[in-house]
Amino acid sequence: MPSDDAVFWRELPARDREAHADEAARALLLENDQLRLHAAELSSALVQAREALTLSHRLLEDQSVALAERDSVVGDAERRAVEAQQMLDAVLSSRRWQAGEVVSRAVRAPRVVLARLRRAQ
Amino acid sequence: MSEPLLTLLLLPGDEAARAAATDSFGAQGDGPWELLRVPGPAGDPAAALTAAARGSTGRYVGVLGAGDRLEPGALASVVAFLEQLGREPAVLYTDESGPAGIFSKPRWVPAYLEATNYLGRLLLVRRDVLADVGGWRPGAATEWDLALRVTERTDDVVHVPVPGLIRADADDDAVLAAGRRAVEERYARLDVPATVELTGSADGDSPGYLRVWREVPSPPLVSIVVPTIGGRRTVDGQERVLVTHLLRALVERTSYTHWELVLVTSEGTDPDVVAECREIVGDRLTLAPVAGTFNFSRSVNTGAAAARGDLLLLLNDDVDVLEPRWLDRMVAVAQDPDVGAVGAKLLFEDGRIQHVGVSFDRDGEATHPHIFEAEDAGYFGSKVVDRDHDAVTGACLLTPRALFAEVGGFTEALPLNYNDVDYCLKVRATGRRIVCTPFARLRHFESSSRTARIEDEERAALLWWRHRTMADPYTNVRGLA
Repeated sequence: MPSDDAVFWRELPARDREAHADEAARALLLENDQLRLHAAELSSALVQAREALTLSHRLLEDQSVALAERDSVVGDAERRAVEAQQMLDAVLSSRRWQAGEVVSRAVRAPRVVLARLRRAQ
Repeated sequence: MSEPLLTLLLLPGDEAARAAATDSFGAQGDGPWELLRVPGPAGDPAAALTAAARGSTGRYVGVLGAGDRLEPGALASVVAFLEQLGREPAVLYTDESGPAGIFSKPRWVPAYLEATNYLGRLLLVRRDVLADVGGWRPGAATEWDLALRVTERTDDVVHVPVPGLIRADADDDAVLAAGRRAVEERYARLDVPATVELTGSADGDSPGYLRVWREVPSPPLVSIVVPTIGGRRTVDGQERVLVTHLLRALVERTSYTHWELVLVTSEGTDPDVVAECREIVGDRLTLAPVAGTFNFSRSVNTGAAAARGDLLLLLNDDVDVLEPRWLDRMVAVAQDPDVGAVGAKLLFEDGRIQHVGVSFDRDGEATHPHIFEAEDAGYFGSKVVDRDHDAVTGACLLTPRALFAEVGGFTEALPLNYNDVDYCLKVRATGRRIVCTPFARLRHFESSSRTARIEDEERAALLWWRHRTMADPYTNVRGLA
């Protein structure tokens, strides 16, 4: 009768081959399951990525509308400023304003002299 | 609209916080989902959750905390996942973020759930499975407790790798303490004597997790198989013979006492070294000489043939013991009949991590997660809790001797590399699990072992397992284990 050791050594390589061969029978099934799982994982990630893109797109749209609104407000303000400047220029260069300016200088002259005298004292 | 596929139960709480959660649900748009507000004051909501689940119509039921905010598209992603998968798993869970950071979870790792409630939220349980376990039970860790009870009945637990929500609160110490009781109760239900302890008590042990010690009523004989040529190197500034250095550590600093040593010597092993080994370990020593060119697999098989123990511990001679309970720990983990091999945490001489399990990357290459990293808690405890892996290194591997013989030992066609990976995959093919326990810590002077040069035929041999190595069951779609 062979010793335990001899049985061990005889059976070991056979069982090793058996373990590998058994796995070969399972390989396709396992691979199929894993591929299906992986596809599901990627699908879920894709859906969320798409959702994130939609969200970003929506945010960009909102941002773009806000920017357009701001541009319009700024444009209006700039236009009003230009108009105001033109109006100011027109007023300052009018004869009536310049005549008033001459009169006001003449009226202010005694006050200026008085102020100088006070400072000199 | 068709019947909801997903029912979310909104926990009681502050009305503003509930409104935030409700708004995030509303932002999911239309789809096969519903949100039910669980009535009642804030506090223990277990009974109200169970009652609400009974009244729901979804195929899956999950919990949404007051203040949690669903990520955009989260529910649509889960629905797409189920459609693509073509079946309805018992449990689904998503990634999450919150005060603790962004948690990209691994796939289903049974051992991990006993250390921390890593399934967290969103956790969606199929309603019939939820009914079978009787719903939620009171306690600070009600969701963790549910996950433990459900996964006792099924391992059909599937990860949906998308961010599901942003949590308002992180689990606190009360949850950990209650989780400890929940894990204790699990072992009581399974009629397995075990002690559950909080981590953080020992040197190099990070707090905040749980550790289960299965009782070992009659400690089995562990046959420590050490192949050696009697090599030398400098250790801690002194020139040492590695194997005698290891044996002294075994005798002087290993609390587990029921072991024998099978020293597998080669033709070149110095007889003086062998004599010194005998002097150190006495009659625990069995010599198993092996002839011919060095073949690690042949050495291991020779050692196993000479072993008498129920458990084989394959141990490189360039290893040093760091803490006394390392072997107790490995034997305790091996008490689980579903576990076919146990690995340990191995550190380089400078204290950085060499091994906390082996995983496979997207190309099917065997890799050591966290190699060269500092010995800290890692990513949500990844370096400090027991974890399932597809393989562990043969430098320190505990396995039942009967299983070793059942799968044909180490493949001698792989003399140097990947023989441990091949062995572990054979074990996995029997349906058993491989667990690496970081609570067994050793130093591995790996550079002194040999230069790891991978031959083409070794890579080719591993191709046999390509269907497994290309789809590591624990590594998520982002490659995180």
